Amino acid sequence: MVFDVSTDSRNEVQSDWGSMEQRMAQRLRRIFGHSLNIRHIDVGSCNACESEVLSLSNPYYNFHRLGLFFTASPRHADVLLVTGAMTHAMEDVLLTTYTAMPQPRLVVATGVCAIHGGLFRESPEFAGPVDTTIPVDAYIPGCPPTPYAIINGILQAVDRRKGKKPC
Amino acid sequence: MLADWLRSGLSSRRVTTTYPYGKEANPIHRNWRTVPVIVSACKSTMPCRCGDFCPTQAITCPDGFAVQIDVGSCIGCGRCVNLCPQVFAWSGDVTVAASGRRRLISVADGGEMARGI
Repeated sequence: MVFDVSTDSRNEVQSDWGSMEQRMAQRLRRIFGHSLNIRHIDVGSCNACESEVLSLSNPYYNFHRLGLFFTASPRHADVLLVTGAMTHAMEDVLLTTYTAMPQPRLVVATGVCAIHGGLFRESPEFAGPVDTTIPVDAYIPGCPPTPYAIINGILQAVDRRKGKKPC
Repeated sequence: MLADWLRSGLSSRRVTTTYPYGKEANPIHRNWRTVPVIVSACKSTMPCRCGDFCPTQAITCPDGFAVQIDVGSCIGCGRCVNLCPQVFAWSGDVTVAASGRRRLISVADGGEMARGI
């Protein structure tokens, strides 16, 4: 049996949103040459931010509709999504991950711990905010930030990147 | 609460959110407590100690009276909203990301957070 899309009333309702989302995916492809691939790194998080980041790919938030994807290697990534309060042990790892990424590359600091340190700022194991080690393109506040805010931050970093030379 | 969500989810025909485009089918995030914002300027006539009850010192009064909040260091504990509801209130805004660290600091005048988009 051939599935006929035109007879599906749901698709008619969604076609407007669907076309806008496709345009966003095309815009990302124009800026980066392909869909946006995200590498997530945890530099000392309590896993609340991880819970929100993982829900980006669930059926409700479904960030693949915008042309955003997770990737397993920083070599394939355009965006480094950093969560957690950076510990001394992870400082070098973060720097190595950043240098392993191809240019142009974007860094998004997700959550209060990555931006400021949050409750762990006074801890002797805290090495400093993420922007003291690598340049950050977008800051997403929240403890933890909502998935909406994470999508907003990633798109904002891409908008900032638009029209610039490779860094 | 859950029944309302199920009803609106089933009746809206679309499970996936439409964010960042247009009207949300389930505008459930309006009730979320994402970040506290300053709704009105602090009317205190003496230097208050609102920064002391903030666990991460996100609330500061640089020149004694003009209160400002740095959402980049706010963990959303809600003590400021409970103790000083005439100045602080919860915001359901989800477009809180910023491209610069200083843009995360919001002050009383306007009460609006600096946004990049």
